[in-house]
Amino acid sequence: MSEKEKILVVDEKGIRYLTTTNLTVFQILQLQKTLQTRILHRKTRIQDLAIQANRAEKELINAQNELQKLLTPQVKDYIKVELEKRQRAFEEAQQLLCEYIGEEQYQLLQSKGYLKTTQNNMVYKLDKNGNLYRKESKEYKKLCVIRPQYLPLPDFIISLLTTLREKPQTFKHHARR
Amino acid sequence: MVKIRKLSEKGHEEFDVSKEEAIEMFQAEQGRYFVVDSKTKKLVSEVNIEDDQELMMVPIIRGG
Repeated sequence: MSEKEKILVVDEKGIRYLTTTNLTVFQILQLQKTLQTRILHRKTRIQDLAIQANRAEKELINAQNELQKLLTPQVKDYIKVELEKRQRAFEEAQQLLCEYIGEEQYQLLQSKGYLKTTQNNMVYKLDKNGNLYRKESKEYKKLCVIRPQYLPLPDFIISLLTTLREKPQTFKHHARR
Repeated sequence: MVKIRKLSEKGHEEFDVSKEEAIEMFQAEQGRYFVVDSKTKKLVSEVNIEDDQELMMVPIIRGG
């Protein structure tokens, strides 16, 4: 059994009773075990944190180095050239779209924002952003279309119109909202 | 010679190839591209390809 003792303490922190307990042998052994386990856990945790800190530091240095590389004039020039190339490709595609669907239809697409076409007795509407709709009981419903990311929008519209003309059954399902 | 304009990830690629090479190209991309006559905008089959014809390879779009 552990014995408790009450001591009156008066100091700068205040006036209070402190209770002290004499530990039994069993409690001492238990406490030894608990402290040993706690020390082991803390040491392991410190090691883990050190490994994590080391890894994070390496990642930080790596990210700083990569960012440094991406801010060089060489990369800036590359981006400029690529953007110019993309712009040229877009203009070329726009011109081809105009030739492909004809000046009148092209102007209609620009001014109205959409084109209408009929395939297999179904009316379709294609807007200038490349969205495709089918008229179903007086209402246009948006269809699911998978757009290849590499195609400039005008090229995509050419491809979509051609696919719609040649394989209208491709577009069966409504797009999810 | 056959002139081919291919709408690809590299932009508009242009090729001047023989009839046989054109057929090989179309066969290699079968199922991925339509072959369209640049002037008539109509689909062209391999058997109908003629010399000096201008063709376009238009990607086939998939639906959901």
